Amino acid sequence: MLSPTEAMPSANPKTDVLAPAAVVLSMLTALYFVFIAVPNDAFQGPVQRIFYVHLSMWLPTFAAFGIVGVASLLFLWKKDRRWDHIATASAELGLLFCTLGLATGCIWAKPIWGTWWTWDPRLTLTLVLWMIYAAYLLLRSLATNPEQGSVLAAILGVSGVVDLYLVNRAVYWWRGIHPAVVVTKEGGSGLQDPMMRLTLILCMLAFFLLFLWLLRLRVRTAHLEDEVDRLRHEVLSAA
Amino acid sequence: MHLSFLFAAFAVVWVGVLVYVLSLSKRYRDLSADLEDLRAVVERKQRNQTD
Repeated sequence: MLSPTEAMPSANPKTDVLAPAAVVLSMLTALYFVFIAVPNDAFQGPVQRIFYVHLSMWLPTFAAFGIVGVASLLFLWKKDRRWDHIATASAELGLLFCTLGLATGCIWAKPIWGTWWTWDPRLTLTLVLWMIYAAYLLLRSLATNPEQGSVLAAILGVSGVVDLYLVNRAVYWWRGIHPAVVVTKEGGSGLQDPMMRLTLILCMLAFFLLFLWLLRLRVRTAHLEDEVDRLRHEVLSAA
Repeated sequence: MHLSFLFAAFAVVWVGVLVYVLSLSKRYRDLSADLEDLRAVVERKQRNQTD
């Protein structure tokens, strides 16, 4: 099994240059496809292009909250604070992408549904997901006892995975108005045009690369925070 | 045509990502500076103890 030290990315000059370069290149390619190459949707017009960026927010969100669940479970089991740092870094990024996903969804909904928000099962469960991980980060920052705060946050981080599954299943289990954009066995309406599907894949790939790069930077920052805390404690105890 | 909604969606995403990257970069720089200072303090203390 991967140890927290192995999971902790260290500074590597080559990767530090290649990772952002790959992100920028994939983003530019995705933007070219979204704004120039892909045709307009026959019913929604140019507004449908919001889908490419809106959908691309959910892969990083699900990956990030999934990592929070696994890392929190490992923290509760092994009591190794480094797993806790990975969970925190991932929760922060998950919340960022979830916020952007909700915001782009609202912006798409206004011209298409005529309202910014509706209490559709998937939308409601996604809002609950956002609240769970916002509470996770608040719990950590407001806890008077950091050890206790970490344990409580880890329990919340693991239980949040249940809502993650419900968000994924919501369009199939309950009748709502949220569309199933991707072609699925369960009957998702799907993007029929091959260029639209390619654009969606490129966009999702670009944002997933951005997520991986940011996660690497954020975990490294958490590693630095830990080192600073350790040295501060060393200095204070020696004084 | 609702083009303003399309640009608003992309603007929200890019501004959000940019603000996060800038805040992360500032946090990283501040922590690196703190780490340098603390290492210097620890080294100084260790040197004083050996002298």
